[in-house]
Amino acid sequence: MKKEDMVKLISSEGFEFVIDKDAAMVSQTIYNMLTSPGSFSETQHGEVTFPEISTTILEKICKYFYWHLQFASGKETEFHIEPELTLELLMAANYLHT
Amino acid sequence: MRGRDRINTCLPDELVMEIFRRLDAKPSRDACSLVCKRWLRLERVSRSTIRIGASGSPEHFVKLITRRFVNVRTVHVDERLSLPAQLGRRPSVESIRPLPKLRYAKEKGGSEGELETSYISDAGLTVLGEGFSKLEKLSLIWCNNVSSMGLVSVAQKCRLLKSLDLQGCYVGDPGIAAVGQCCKQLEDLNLRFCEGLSDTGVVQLALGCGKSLKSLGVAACAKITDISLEAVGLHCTSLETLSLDSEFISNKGLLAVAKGCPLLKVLKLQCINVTDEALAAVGTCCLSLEMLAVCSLQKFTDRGLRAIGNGCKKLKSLTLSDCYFLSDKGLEAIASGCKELTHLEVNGCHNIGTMGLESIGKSCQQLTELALLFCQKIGNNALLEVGMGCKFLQALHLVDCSSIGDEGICGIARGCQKLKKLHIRRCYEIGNKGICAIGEHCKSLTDLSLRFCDRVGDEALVAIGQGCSLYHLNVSGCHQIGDAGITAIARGCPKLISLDVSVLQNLGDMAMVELGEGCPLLKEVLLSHCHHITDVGITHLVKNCALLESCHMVYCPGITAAGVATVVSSCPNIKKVLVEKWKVSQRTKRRAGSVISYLCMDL
Repeated sequence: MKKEDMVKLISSEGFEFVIDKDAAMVSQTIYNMLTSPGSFSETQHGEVTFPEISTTILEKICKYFYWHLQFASGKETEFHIEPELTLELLMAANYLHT
Repeated sequence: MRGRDRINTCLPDELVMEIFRRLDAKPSRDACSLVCKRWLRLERVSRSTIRIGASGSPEHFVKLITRRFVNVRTVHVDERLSLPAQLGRRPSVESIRPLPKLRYAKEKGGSEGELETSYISDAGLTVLGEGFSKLEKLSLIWCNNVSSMGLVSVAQKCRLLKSLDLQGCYVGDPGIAAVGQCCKQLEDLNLRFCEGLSDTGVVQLALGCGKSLKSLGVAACAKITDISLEAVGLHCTSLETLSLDSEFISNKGLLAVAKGCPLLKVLKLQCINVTDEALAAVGTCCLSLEMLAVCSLQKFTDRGLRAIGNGCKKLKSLTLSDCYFLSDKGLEAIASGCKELTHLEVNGCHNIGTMGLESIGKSCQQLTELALLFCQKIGNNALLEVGMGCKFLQALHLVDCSSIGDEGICGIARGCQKLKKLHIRRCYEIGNKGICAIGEHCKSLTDLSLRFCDRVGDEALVAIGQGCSLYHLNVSGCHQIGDAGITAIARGCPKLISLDVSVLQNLGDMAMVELGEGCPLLKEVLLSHCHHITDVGITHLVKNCALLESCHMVYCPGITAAGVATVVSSCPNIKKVLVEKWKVSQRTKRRAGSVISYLCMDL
């Protein structure tokens, strides 16, 4: 688990989620942030803060990233979404372009 | 989340539109547009399909629509439908509601408020074209006032047009030529009953957008002849679907198409003057053919059918209608050549008999649907072979096949256990034994229709009730069926959606009571000509069947105005009631005027 392959996603409450870069790149927005030729501070430090996304939602999103990688590699499982989360999850997903 | 509107304040416009785009049903979309002004605006922006009937003032109407729904890609104008004017109730028809001032063009006291309709004209089409420049699909069905001029303006404004349906419109050649010139992405074109068109126009069309054209339909156009087809064969090399219904087309035209359009997948022919020669060419050149339907081809013989069997190995669907000279030999050639056949219909081809069908049963293992209509020569052995060979059969239609009896049906029952749909009409040799076998073996059966089969009785329905969970049942005209049979169905098929028991003289109120208790999901009930059903039965039925949408009860002397009133008042979803005029009281007429259809004769 090398440090260069991990990124840190920080929620609005300050919780830090350390996940694989491959997983985070499922989000088009994060992908752009981390791979753009310009000088995003995120690229340098490997950290992205989301002041608008709460911890529960960010946790669900990280789970989604890993599920997506599994699904793409052939394993077709279900991704259950609790109804209370749907609204915020929808907006976060729109922001993250995923 | 109660008491606070979280959704509207959080979601941005594009997300709300994304959600609306995933709504398929029109009622859902209409409901959303009623929530608030913002949702109304967003729903209008994201709406992509519009359906219009004949309305009071078409030009005004179209202008309104083009201003309101800017992103529309599909427009259907069907002037066979007119918007009903209802007093005090929302119209329950699939079209846009006009503004209240357009709704009542003429209103006389006491009448139903018939809407004076006028038809969309060229000016209206011009407005349409200007408003919906991104239009991709346009249907103008039986629009009497439309002419070439209107079509020219639409063609010029809507260059992205992919699909055009002009069924029944009297447009002329200049209009179609303009379409050929301007709409270079046109893929589907329907010219059925466009009597104003001639070869000149079609040739221009083929020249202009032949490369993109994938589907073409022509019917009853006297001035379209082989010349048009030759142009099609020359220019429309990507053609996949062709439907021709014309006496003015002969082998020459069809040969040109066969040779010029090798990608042809679907071919439907109703052309008296076409013979084996043309079909042999199809068999040689159109090797991708998947569907062939021939109707009333009097000169089609086994020779042509054999050529098809030899060449079109990918054939999946074959319909042979009214072709007298086709015999078992031709069908055997199809059976041995087209192993992937899934659909077969033989209608009125009196020289096709048991042997032909036996060969199908032996060779076409993938058969899912078989229809045999008016085939007096096909006997039980044919169905026995089909039962043994076609394990995947899902639908079987038998009409007027007097040589098929219980033995054949038992064979199907034992062999085709995946059967979902069985429709039998006027096959007088089929009785209880065959249908009991179906009930025993075909557990997936959902749609059963046994019409005018004299020998089928209650015993058969008991077996069906025990074995199959039906959604649709039609036993009209099977005189032996009475309360016992229908009760068995009521107790055994709780998911029943539609029931037709017309012309059953032995059916009484008991069965209606049982149905009311056993089948709450009923949407459609047809009871016409049932002399022993009275208001009592009908009341019990509608008490529990809250989802009822359609009820036919003409010639039922036991049902009175009170019964009709009960039906109308108990069923909130009711959309159609067919009954005698004198049985509808004034009060009932007020409550549900447009829902009630009357029998045309004065009784």
